[in-house]
Amino acid sequence: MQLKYTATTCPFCGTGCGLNLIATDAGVSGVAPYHRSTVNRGKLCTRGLHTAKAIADFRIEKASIKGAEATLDAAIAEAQKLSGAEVYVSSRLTNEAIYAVKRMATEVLGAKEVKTFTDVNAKSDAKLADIAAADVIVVVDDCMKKLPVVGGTILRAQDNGAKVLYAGPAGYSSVQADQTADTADAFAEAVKGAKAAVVVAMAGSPLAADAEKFAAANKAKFALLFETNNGKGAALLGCVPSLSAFKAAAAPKAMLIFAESPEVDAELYLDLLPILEKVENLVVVASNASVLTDIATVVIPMASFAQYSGTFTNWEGRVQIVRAAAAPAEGIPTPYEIVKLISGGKIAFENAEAIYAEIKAKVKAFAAAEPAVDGPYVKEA
Amino acid sequence: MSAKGDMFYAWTNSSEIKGECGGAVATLLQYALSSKMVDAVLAVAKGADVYDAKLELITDPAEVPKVAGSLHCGTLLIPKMVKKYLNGAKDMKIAVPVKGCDAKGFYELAKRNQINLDNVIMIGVNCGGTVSPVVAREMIAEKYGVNPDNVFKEEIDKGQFIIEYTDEKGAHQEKGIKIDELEEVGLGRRSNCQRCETKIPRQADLACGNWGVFGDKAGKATFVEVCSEKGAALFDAAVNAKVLSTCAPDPKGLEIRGKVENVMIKMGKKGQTKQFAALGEGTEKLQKIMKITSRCIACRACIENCPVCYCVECSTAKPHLVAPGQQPPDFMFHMIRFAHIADSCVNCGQCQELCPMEIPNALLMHAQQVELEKMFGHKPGVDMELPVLGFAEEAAERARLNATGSDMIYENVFGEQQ
Repeated sequence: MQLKYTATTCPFCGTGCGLNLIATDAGVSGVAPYHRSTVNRGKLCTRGLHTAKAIADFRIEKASIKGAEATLDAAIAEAQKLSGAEVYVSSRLTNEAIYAVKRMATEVLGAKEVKTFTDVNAKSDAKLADIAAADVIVVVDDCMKKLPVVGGTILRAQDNGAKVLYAGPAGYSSVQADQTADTADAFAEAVKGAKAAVVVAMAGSPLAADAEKFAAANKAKFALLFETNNGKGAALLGCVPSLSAFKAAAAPKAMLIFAESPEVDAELYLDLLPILEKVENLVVVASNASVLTDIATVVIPMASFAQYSGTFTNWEGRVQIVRAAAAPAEGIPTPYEIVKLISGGKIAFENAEAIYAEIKAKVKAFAAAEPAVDGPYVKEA
Repeated sequence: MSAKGDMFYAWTNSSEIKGECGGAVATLLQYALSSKMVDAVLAVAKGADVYDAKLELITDPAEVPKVAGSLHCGTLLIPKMVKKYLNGAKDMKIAVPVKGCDAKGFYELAKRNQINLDNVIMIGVNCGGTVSPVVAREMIAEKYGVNPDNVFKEEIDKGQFIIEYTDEKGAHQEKGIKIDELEEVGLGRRSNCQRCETKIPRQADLACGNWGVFGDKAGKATFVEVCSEKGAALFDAAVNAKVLSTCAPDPKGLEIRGKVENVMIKMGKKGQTKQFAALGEGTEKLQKIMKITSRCIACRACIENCPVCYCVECSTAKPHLVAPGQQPPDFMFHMIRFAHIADSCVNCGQCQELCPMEIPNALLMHAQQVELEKMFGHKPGVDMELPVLGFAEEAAERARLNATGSDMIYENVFGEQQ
């Protein structure tokens, strides 16, 4: 009989909400609010509320090769043959997993770089606290719907008297705005006259680069929001955001994808399916089944984010702790173990803390950031 | 032998329990567990720091002392957790310390057959309100000029929010600010706590606290009011087992306790008047509600955390009532919530505190509950009485109406009451 709380970080969008995973005798069964988080004050949107279910559904329990069940060793052996293949890593994995995969790909598999299925075309200097304290907020794109708790922070600022101005197609955010326009330029005067203006945009949106320029030109702070929980971390760790490039190019012959992940990623892979289907040798590491694992040549099962520890970096650059709420099922490795196996023991660490220690030593942005659930900020150049 | 309505001063005989005021609550919990009256104790415990409250399910009596003391930043609600993760206490007996809204939530889920209250011993604790942890930290930094990380204890006493902290020189300091002063600038207790009238939760099996402990027992004993047979049985057994000592309360203390409670209830009523008035009346009120609820993203965090909601198939998820995927959803989403639970709202505040889009859900619901209570006389969260829109076995109800031989339903249902 147990009811165990594990304070951790939500694995969905880039907000970095704190939540408690609840483990009972039946395993990780649900979530409870983590009121203590300064990011979300216990609040969660529908994705965070259903974290436990999302990671429990459609778990991959066995390795497979060409649709037939295989041993983990055999599947790992297939991955080891991927010399020179394109390597993609999910920007939902922990900083530690992304870092370890990058070392493995470049040092062992001879990859030039590791890529992510994201686009990042601007850089932020605002934090959530700046949004909360702003007197004018220009929202570009339907950010408030995509990162609801950031949206809620914008609404809290509005309650305190801030003007919310919206530029972009009609949607949830436009309903909330005090004023709307097609482009942010219409709000130049309002931003110039503000004491503390913030412009908010989505990473990867075609409107983000212009929004950043608009913010700079009008002396506003700029917040670039990430749709994935560790999009910011992946970019800081030197992964190359390549979503548009991937869509525009021919399918590579061989690919290794360190994916996650629950249903939220299904849409991404569904979108990329026509290209991914043409990859002759597609090796996928994943915790949950999706269209991606359906079409993969080789599938390597992986523990879910609730079963190993590490850190995520939210859109603000906070390094936040991810804690294991339960042990992985027997025989299912963590991403750290998979890296060790594929690299033949060459890229091996004692634990996630040891990987983070190396990240701190090697990646300048992380040098002074000691992870916490509320998280300190990385220092970007 | 004690009986419902009896009152005592009680204090622990255990050196292990370092309760704030006599340690009777922790002693009763421990005794319930060690005597096997219950299988487990479910209580709020300190998480990362004094601002972080979490639940602990304890089966070893030796571990009970760690849940002693109160956390005023513990805004979590217990009953829904019991329903969700402990199968509604249907197959285990638990002892739970409860603040007013917890106790009320237990009744609402129990009357909907989601919790077996026979298996739950509720040890009520007086509650003057709670402060959201993030607000508390901001408030301590801004209003108290103290680093919130240096605070090791907080309490609400004599109308003040008081913190104890270690200053830069390592010395122990104490500082209090009037709650009224904090709340005037939007700080202080959660807005639902500011409207609350359940200060001494007598719907629990025992109601405990430090209000009314007067004379030489001040600070050394807990005031215990016996509120049910179940409570009396636990209290008497603990006294007989000599884990708890008691004496009669000082008459002056009784008076003080009554005064404190009345003052706090008046504050709650004042909070209601003030906050409800801000919503306006009639059409203006409706328009305000429609405007503010248009922030909704239909995430259902309000429903998920509500101690009244329990439906497996929520009506807000039925496509013929609310168009799926639309953000914000139709106003019907909120109309369904109002219609289904406003009569039973216990003003626990979770739907508001946990709404990602900052909708004052608890305010809207509580404002309606108060009106419905005036109209129908139904008071939620105090006993097992069914809500206004009571549960009806549909087949049995139809049979009853058929048996009248008439299709005049209005007359059949309401006529017989006249």
